Formats: sequence, C-alpha cells, structure tokens
Amino acid sequence: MEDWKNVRMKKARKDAGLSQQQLADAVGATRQTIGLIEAGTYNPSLRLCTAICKTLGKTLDELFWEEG
Amino acid sequence: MGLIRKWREYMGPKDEYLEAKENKAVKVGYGILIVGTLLVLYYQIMLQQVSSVLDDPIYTALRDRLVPSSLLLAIAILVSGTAMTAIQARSGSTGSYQRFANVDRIPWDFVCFVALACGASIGVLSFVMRVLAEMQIVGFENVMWLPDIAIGAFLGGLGFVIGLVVYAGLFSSAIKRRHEIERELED
Repeated sequence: MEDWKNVRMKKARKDAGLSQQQLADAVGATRQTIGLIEAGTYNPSLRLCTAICKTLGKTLDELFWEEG
Repeated sequence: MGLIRKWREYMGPKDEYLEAKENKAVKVGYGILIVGTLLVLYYQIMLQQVSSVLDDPIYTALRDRLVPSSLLLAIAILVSGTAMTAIQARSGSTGSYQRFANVDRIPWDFVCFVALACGASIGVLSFVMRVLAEMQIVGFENVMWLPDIAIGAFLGGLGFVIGLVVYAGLFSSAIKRRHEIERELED
C-alpha cells in the first residue's frame, strides 16, 4: 500500500451517504476498484474519475488534484 | 459475431482495474509461452543437428530414448496457463467482466457451461485431428470412425471434468482473495 490515500474521495463518498458498493454500482465499477482508488493503490482512468465526480457532485480538482 | 455480442451482453461491462490485472496476467503468460516455445524449438534443432552429426538418424529406435519436444511444448503451455490463472486468482478476479466480479459463491451454472464448452471443443478437436491423421496415413477408406468418435467422447469428457475442477478452483481462490482485499480496504 502506498502512503498517499485519496481521503477527499472517501470523505465525499461518505458525505453523499454512499457505500463503496453503491458508488461502484453507480459508476460501473467493482467495489474492489473503488476501495483501491481510495487507498491510493490504483490510478483510475479519466473516464472513471469523471464518472465518480459526477456521481459525488464534485469536480476533478476537488477529488483528484494533488496539492503541492 | 452475434454470439460474441450476446456473450458480452451477458457478461456485462468491463471493470478497468480488473481489465488491467487481466492484461498483466496475459502478458506474463505470453512471455512464458514465447520463451518456452523458443527453448523447445532450439532443443529440437539441436536434437536433429547432433543426431545428424553422429550418423544416428532420429527416426529409429533412438527416438524412444529422447525427451519428445511435443512434451516440452505441452509443459510450456501448461506453465504459462497456470501462471495466468494464478495471477488472476491472486488479484481476486476471474476476468475483466463485472457479471461475476462480486460473487460470494461459485456460480456453478456458469462454471458447468464453460466446462461443457471446454469439453465439447476438446472432443470435436480430438475427433477431427485423428481423422485428419488417419486420412494421411491409412487413407480415407480406412478411417476408423467409431473408435475415433469414442476417443473424442472420452477426451471430451475428460476435458469437461478438468475444466470444471480448474474453473471452480479459480473462482474459489479468487473469491477468498477478493474478500481479503475488501477487508483491507475498509468501507
């Protein structure tokens, strides 16, 4: 596991009241894939990033832009 | 084409992470197969060369003492297939399609269908290849149709059983591994 975790995506998902499985179903992925993205061990494609952002009502910058 | 389209519709959309894992598994298996095939080819060339230099033709009793290159090729295919299957199982998946990506139990109907397709392919292939070999060696009029059908049926049955065991084993390992991964990636 890498050190960098996508905490913002996890927080946005929880704020939206979705489980990993519900988000996975909404974006056409598996729960494993969503978990791995949140854990920072898998870099999703732009298509999947966009689908996640649309489902969670966030922008790409808000969820995937790495500061600094 | 219609059958392939229906198959894809049945299997559902692909998951990009699982697809990436599948591509990695296929890449490793392909590498093993290419290296294995090259080694077998090299072995076969050397066998013929040494046999020729020693004036001991390969198509005599000497052949019975040699390791056949077809056996080595079969081993290379088996190793590459096993490597691909093991990598897939370790990543917690059985393929890139989503239909069976989240199952918690072995889907026996699907496993039986795949094993049946595997057995039928092996059965038909065995029959056709035997007939082709006999046509060239003993002529069309002497082809032993009934024994060939019997051998095809036997090998097809064997293929079904092996396919069933291997595919069910792959599902079982993948499900266990996926549950481990999901426990690590807490919700």
